[in-house]
Amino acid sequence: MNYVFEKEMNREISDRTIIDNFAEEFCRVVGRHIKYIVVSGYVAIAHGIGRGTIDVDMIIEKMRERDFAKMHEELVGEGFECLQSSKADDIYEYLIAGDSVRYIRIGEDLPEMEVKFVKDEIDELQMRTRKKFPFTGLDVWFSSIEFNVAFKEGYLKTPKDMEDAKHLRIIYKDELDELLIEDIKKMIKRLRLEDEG
Amino acid sequence: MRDKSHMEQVERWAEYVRSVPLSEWKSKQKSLIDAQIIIGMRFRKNLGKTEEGRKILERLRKARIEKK
Repeated sequence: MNYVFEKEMNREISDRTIIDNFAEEFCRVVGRHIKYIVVSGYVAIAHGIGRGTIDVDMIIEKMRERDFAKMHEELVGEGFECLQSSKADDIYEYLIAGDSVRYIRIGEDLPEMEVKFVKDEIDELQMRTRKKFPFTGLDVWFSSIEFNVAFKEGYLKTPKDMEDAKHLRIIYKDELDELLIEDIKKMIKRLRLEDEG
Repeated sequence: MRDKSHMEQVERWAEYVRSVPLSEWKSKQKSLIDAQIIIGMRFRKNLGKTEEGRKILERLRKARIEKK
């Protein structure tokens, strides 16, 4: 019996989703080794938006290869595997080249954690201002709501992203720093959109 | 392009989520989110039962590895 179904069948009464458990368990291991943030769609999903996903996006601080190898070994020991390779040095090459790598539960295809290194000052600032949100009931570090709203409204802009931004704006209405959102949008324009032409 | 009523539904749902305890909205959200994962896994499991399906699975896996 695979991990997800086993967990579902043996669970106590819980409202946690499969992806909540997956994300929290992965973050618990990574958090023992390096600073991380969870970004993008799962932030809105963790705040209750009514749509699903099969992946979670994570940014981690850059680390030395031997430190990454230790973290990878622990992830494997906790039941995760990397789709790109089983070898830590191969995986590290992807990360250091700026590519993302994908981890899943061993023997299962879904869900997946997409991991990449911090790539610019926007990511560094997201990392410095990371937050845990009691609203979600999850022990996970997320990028701030202001960053998520700014990215979704000012960079990604798909209908799904605009809905995510609207949802987060309603959940945190009266709490959001609108000036900060505008500053982040300017930073995104300068560092991401102009670079992409 | 989604219509205006879709965004209005997003807004109504967000207001509901904001106004009730975590356990209440989470239990409603859980069935939707878990179904997507469970159906996806079941689909892959069924594909794995045939030679052709296993080839498709291999192509899917390769695409995920190559995706940056």
